[in-house]
Amino acid sequence: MNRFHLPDSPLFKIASPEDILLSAKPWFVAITMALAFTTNLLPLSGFVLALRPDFFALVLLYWAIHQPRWIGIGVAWACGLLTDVVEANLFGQHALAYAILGFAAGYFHRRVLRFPVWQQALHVLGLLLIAQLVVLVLRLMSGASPPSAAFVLGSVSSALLWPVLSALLQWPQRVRSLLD
Amino acid sequence: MHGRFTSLPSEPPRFFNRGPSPIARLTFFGVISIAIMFIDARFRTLETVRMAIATVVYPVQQAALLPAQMATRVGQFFDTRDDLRAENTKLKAELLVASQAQQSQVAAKQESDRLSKLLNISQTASTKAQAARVVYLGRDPFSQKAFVDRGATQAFESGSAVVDELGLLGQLTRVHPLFAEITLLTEKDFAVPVKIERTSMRALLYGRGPGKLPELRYVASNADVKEGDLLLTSSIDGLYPSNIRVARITGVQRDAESAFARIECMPTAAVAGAETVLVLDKPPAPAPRPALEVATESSAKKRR
Repeated sequence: MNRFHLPDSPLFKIASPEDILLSAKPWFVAITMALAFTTNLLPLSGFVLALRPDFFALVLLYWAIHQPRWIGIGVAWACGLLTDVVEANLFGQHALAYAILGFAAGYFHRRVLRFPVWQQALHVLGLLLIAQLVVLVLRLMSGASPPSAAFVLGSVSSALLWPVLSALLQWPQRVRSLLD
Repeated sequence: MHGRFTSLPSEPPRFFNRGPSPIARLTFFGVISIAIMFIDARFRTLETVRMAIATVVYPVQQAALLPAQMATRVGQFFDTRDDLRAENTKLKAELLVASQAQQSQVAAKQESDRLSKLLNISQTASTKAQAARVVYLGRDPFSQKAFVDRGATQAFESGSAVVDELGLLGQLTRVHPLFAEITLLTEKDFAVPVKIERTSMRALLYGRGPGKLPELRYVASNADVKEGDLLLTSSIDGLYPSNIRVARITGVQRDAESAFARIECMPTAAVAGAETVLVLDKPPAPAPRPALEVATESSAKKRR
């Protein structure tokens, strides 16, 4: 169970499917999304950039799965537009990719949480790869040259980060649940 | 019991009105995205929207740069005196070389000024330049962009050439209120009109996208092109000032099957590593083409 060697306290465990957590505060959702967006803007380049997880998509996906009534297709779409502006690329490509992420998260959110966390990570990998495929197809259609194969590494590292991120993002709710 | 009464796990019975179904929403936003993409790629009419969002988000981008800036500042603090002295000596030596080159250039320019006065050619004023700092490189894996910050008094113009101390870097493509976007010359299908320094032969240099060297296209197989030739801007488009270094030829392949040679070139500028750049003002607009005058004359005649 304790696959990721987190300290053996209920505070540091990842919620199992049976656990019922309090719902997150709206401001917490907003702040974590803003932080993830800022983290995406770190001035990296080259291979490190290709390796960098897409924090924004990951946090978006987390909240779309855990709070589907707040974070849905519309919010995801708007987040995608923001990403397009800061990356100065084709306007609307990430909007579409993130909207699809939001839709898939809404479709799967009951099922994904039934799985242990590493299987959730596999689901996340699949969803992120679909989003990247959407971006790839759109860019190739608009005449860009194909990127290097390192392009997919971002999704892989994002999926590897999923367990850590889940633990971090549900920590406040877990503390509140224990205090009650 | 299975089958008839079960529904998809994500579709609970609709006790409550929750707005349009997810599929309808996805279709709605998908159609909007594709429409936006089409408009952006074809008509470029969404630049104001893009600019507004980019300006609002810019402080966040600055915040993201802070950790790296702090790291360099801490690093600079620990620069030793010896390092600084060595750098100082090196810079003095470079200055000496540069001033010598400049003196000979001044003499050559005076000579050419005199000659062109004799020939009665209108001499273009030397181009003005504004310095700018590269803040970060583009994050899009499909394109080659860099971003520079822009002071309140700096009047950048989209389309101006951007150079570093070694040669041409690219072109300003979008000017935002607080920063500006450079498209680097390695961007796919980014064309620069060049001439070969040795032979003054004109050609076009095309970028080929990330990770690939630009190439000279449409140069005949039997043209006089050698490895090591230097390419300069030819100013034939009226966009780049003339005689800026662009690239050096690194490989020439001549195929019997194709009429054109394959010529790979290495940009002389530090395309991925530039820190401080100069934004050159556009040269004055070239004289109108004679063909245009002929056309208007003939149409005027027709009207008569």
